[in-house]
Amino acid sequence: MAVTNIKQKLTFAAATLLASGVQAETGEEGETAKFYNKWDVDVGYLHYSEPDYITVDTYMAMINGDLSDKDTIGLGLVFDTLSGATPTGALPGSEIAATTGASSGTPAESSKGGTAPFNDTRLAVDATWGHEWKRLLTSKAGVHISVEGDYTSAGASFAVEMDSKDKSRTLTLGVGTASDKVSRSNEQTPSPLTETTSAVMFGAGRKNSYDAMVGITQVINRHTVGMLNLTYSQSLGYHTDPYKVISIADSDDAELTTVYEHRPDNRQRYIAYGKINHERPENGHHISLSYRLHLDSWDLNSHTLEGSYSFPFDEIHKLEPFVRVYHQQAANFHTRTINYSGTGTFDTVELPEYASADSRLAQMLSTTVGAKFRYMTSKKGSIDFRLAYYYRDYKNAILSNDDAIFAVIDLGKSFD
Amino acid sequence: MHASRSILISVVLLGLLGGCSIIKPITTTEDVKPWQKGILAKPEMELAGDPIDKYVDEHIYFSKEGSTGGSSVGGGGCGCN
Repeated sequence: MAVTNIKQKLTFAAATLLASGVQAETGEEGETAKFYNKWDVDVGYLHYSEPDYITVDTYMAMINGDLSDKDTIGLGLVFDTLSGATPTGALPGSEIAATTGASSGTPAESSKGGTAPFNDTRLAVDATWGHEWKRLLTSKAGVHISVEGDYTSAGASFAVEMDSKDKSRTLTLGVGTASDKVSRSNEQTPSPLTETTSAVMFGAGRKNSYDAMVGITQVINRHTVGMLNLTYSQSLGYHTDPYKVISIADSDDAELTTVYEHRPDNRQRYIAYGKINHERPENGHHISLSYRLHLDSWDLNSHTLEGSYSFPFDEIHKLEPFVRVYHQQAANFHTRTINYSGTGTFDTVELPEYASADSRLAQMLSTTVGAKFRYMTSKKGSIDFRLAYYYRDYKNAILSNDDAIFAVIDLGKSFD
Repeated sequence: MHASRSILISVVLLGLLGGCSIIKPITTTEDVKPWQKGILAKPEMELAGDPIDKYVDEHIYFSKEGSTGGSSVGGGGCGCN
């Protein structure tokens, strides 16, 4: 009897689905269009400002839409302008580093010791095509290119997503590759660990990166969904920053000279990333939590914890405070300075195989605190304003700390 | 001093989460039927997050920290300083 009931129910459900499918295929144009004519458009502006260093203005446009009932496309366009000063890696007050420059568009003669003027523009575009091969099997293929005066990156990615029968679980397998061309603004790279005043220049450096990822997305309960990604990444080639230098100094920071940095030409990274989104049943507020573990052949191991809490205070206004805490170990070749005894010349200094004083490779604890305010202009339109304070605390580095404020305005609109 | 402040913030955050008894409803598993997935289909529950926010965060942290990646595969580098 039970079997009969189930059969009847299945038959009814199948008939309903078939009927709705026929209606969709044979219906009027307007009804058919619902299946493949939904588009989301986002236009954004970012202002990022470090009081002592750089200012960045970024203009972003992103479009995602359905090409058909089985195909989607995403397009992104980003334009950056960067200006200000950036740390060279030399000791603050270094006069020698003044000749090194750290800019892709500005001559370096006006460098202020441990910093150098910085002025650049960047254009980046990306495209992603999604396709549903079967009801439970989809793929995404993407390409991207980013161009600056001193850095070009081009790459591609491909991911397959397999849903479980009840669509409560999705397995993702993805690969990606990128090829980067790195140089100073004159298409040159300096000979590593040689004096900045007499370095020999080579051509542009090249770096190739390969990523592989396996991920699982799981519905945990009616109010919670989570994901876990495991990623392996390897990059080969020129990892050195051609602008960065290191001071050779004695224990009192009396500087002998500066040399260009040198990083290993091979880097392997293992990343575990987990995220949970939850809606609180009692009030409909949303919580998002994520954690990332990053293990690195350079020993630059890190932990990242992020959380946000989103709540509406009326029908059309919503606030989302967020916090992010990040800690990294220093890379095994990071050094504040290259020590020397205080006597002798550069030729007598014992140089390591690899060395960098870039604070981004130092032991670091950073915290970001901010909030996003959303105003719904209509059922399908919104304006987001996001403001955050980003603080970085370094240990055994050229910089002891620095900070930044960034603000984002995002205009979003859906069309269907 | 500043490190202590950052750690304090994270501890307070975790304390608040625990104190509000949020952990249990997040971690309690259940078999969810297709017709019970209405909440999961909301934009706020999308794990990929807001595309502009995601791009901005990845761009800033890639430029200022030594670690990157994890949430997806692919993505381009830059010479950002």
